[in-house]
Amino acid sequence: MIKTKKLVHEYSRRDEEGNVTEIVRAVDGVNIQVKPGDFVAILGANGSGKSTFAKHLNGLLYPTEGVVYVNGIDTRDKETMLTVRQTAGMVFQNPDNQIISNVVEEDVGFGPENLGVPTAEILKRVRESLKGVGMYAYRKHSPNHLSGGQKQRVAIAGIMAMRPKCIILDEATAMLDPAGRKEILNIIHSLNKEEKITIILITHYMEEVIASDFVYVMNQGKIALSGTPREVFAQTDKLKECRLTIPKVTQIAQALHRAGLPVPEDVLTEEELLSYLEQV
Amino acid sequence: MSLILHNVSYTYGKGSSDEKQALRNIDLEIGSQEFTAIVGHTGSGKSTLLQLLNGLEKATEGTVYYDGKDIYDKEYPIKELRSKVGLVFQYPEHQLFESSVIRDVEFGPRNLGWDNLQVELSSYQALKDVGIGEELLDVSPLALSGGQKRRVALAGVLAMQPEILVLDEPMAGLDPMGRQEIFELLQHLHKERKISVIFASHSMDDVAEYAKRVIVMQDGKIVLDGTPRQVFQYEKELEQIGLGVPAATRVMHRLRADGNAVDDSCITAQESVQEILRWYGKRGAK
Repeated sequence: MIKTKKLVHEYSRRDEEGNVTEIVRAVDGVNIQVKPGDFVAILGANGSGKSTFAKHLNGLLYPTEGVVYVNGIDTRDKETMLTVRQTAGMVFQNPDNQIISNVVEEDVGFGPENLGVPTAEILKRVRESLKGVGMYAYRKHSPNHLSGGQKQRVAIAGIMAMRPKCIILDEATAMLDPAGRKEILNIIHSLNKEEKITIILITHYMEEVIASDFVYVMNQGKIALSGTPREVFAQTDKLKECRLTIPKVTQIAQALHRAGLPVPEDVLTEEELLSYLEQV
Repeated sequence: MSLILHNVSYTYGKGSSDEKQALRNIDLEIGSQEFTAIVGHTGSGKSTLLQLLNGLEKATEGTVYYDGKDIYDKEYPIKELRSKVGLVFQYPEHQLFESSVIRDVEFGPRNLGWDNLQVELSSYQALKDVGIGEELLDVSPLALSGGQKRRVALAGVLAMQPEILVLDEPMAGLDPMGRQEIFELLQHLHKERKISVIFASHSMDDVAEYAKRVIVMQDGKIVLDGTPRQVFQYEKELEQIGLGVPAATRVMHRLRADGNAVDDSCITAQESVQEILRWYGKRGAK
């Protein structure tokens, strides 16, 4: 679905006269591969390059070096750019910056309308997408009066209406409260399972990636670690070097493991922890 | 130093069709030496409450007293209150605007009409407190990293030498290490500078780890107020209002609910590890 080969992104800092003072390598030789239907997380601290990387995945940025393929299409080809954006839709951090219309259903219809989809089909897609994210009851409402989580759900519906194969969430839960974050995670997991949409979740919340198929950890523009959540969270020290931590439940499990209890180090969920503690 | 809210209510757009009551009959006292968290889901009124504390917003009903004086009194020096109760907004780094770090930090104290020497001393001290080195004083704030920007924004408020520091989600958007660094900084200010810290947070784990008192808001009202240990015993109630409890507390509550003789008042990972070890040892001895 998505493949990057030795992707490099550089940008230049300039002084007041406009002279280049520094060239920064935000993304430095990243290779990833995401299969159709996968749920992949990209973890990284602030400034690790993960957001810059994300913008390459639907052609918002072009590689300085290396290649990005989205569903087999090279993103450097400007003629197929729209196809790339339609294939891989992006949800951004700030819900307020993504909503354009005064009515929820018009907002969701904006994307397919822009693609020249016939009206009857637009209406059908808007209905289905809003139902898919549980916001159909709000279709006539103004987005301004929705909560952050609801706004992000509308943004996701807007992308769903363009029938993408992949959705990229660039810290889309960062500005939401815990209930809002849970809403979004539930929605994207169900889109992944029910609709087979490929999900790429970019975040620095450890708890959000537990249920992913695969995790890449970025640090200083490079992939520092990768594996299943279980494999990644077993490497506490390496995560610390990347300015990240492990989930609280895993912390508890590791401390118990060190103290000699029959609890493995790679416990991810409360249920697992309890089942180890309560067996005997 | 004390800040008292007496029967305070706040209504947005009073008289318009969009009228919304954000706060309802709030009674609250904040003393010196506090390290207090305010939690509540989006729209519970916590941001509005924070903005009442330094007089930025005025209650539509009720009164706010600072050191026994009514801050809504015509004679009250409200500008002075704004320096004594320092308010740090969400994403404060978005409000950096000066051409250099030091000028940005000096803006607040200069605005209070202090003399040059006082402004400079206070600003240098504030930057030192937040861990911004001298080599960055003349740099444009725009050239800093996210975490550094937030520190500079915080220094701008600290330079006014507040007695209470009020922060709206100071950890929002920061990575785990960045969150920890900001908390350590706040604890340092609390201990060394004797500042009361009031912060809004969405992370129950952070609240359990750092706060001495938690105020829970729901629908513009204070529904719980106590130590984290007291408040987090109300797991069901907190879940119902979309908040929940720390992961460590959840684990202990489950263990106990399954009939295990554990003390389930633990709120941090460390406490729960110790309690599980104690319980497990005892069980093994049987």
